[in-house]
Amino acid sequence: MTASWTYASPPATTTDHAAERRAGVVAMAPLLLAFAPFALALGAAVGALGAPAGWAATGVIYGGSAHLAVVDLLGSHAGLPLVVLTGAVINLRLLIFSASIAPDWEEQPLHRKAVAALLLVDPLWIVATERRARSADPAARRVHYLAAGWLLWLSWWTLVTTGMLLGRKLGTSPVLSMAAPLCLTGIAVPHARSRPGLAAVGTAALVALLTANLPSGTGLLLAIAAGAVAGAAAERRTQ
Amino acid sequence: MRIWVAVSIVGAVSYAFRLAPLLAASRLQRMAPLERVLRYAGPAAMVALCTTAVRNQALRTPHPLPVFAAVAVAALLAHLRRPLAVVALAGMATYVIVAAVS
Repeated sequence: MTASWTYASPPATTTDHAAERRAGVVAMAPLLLAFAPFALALGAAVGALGAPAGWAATGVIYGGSAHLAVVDLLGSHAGLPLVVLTGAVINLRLLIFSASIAPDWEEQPLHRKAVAALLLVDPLWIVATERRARSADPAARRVHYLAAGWLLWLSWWTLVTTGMLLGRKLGTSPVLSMAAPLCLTGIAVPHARSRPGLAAVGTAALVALLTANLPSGTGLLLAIAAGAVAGAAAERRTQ
Repeated sequence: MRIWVAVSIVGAVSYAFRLAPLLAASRLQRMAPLERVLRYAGPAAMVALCTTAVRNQALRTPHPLPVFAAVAVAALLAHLRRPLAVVALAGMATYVIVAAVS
């Protein structure tokens, strides 16, 4: 299954590292814009917690939803087991993201896999998935991934820290809050062009709605699993 | 101290989730049914995240029509293969316009 619409970066036939790095940066930029309001709001919550560990979690946890949940629970003096379990369950989706990009890193040395793992989070996985659909060169995809990943990593730290320093002076504009869902819509819709793709995204959307009230990101996990299985089953039926 | 412990454990577990599949890549690839499922996990995750975000945004506002209108315009432009920046900006413009008139 491929994403067949024009995205920011053109397909590459040879590994032109400079071009791939530029393409990775260009691909990540709209997603940075989309996730910036969330990062600033997260920074404000970290500032309200008033603990250096909350700020350090920006890189240690490196996942906005889990980070926010952990900060919220710690702020309300929840028990340590609940805090840890909630953060871990929310980030469980990283297992799926990592498995889907694993083929690009199979022959790489351990230290490069370690860096790839360090950078992996939702926006980078989105960029990597789109690149994978349009480039058959794993070396090019790795360069693209690292450029986009480092941009995101540095920007995330900057935005969360800015939010922390500005604190409650930052308002949350409703229109800016729409940026992330609109970007996700723009990326997700083209995947519905094929029957298996339509089965995957339709099932995921339905299950996400039905399980929205489940705690700690479990609904999200169920939706991903259901959509993935539905897509795979539809593909098998078409073969 | 308690906060440091919590952050460290969640961080370590999260990193293990990120790293483990990269270390087991060759084993994952030999499992063809798993590979097929993983191929669709990506789009499923994007849509699940999107659906949750749209739902939460709609619930946060007193009138959800601007949210749905914005998403509908974004979906149409994405289907017409417009660049992501155009999709997002058109969606946000739609939100502002519909919110102003509704």
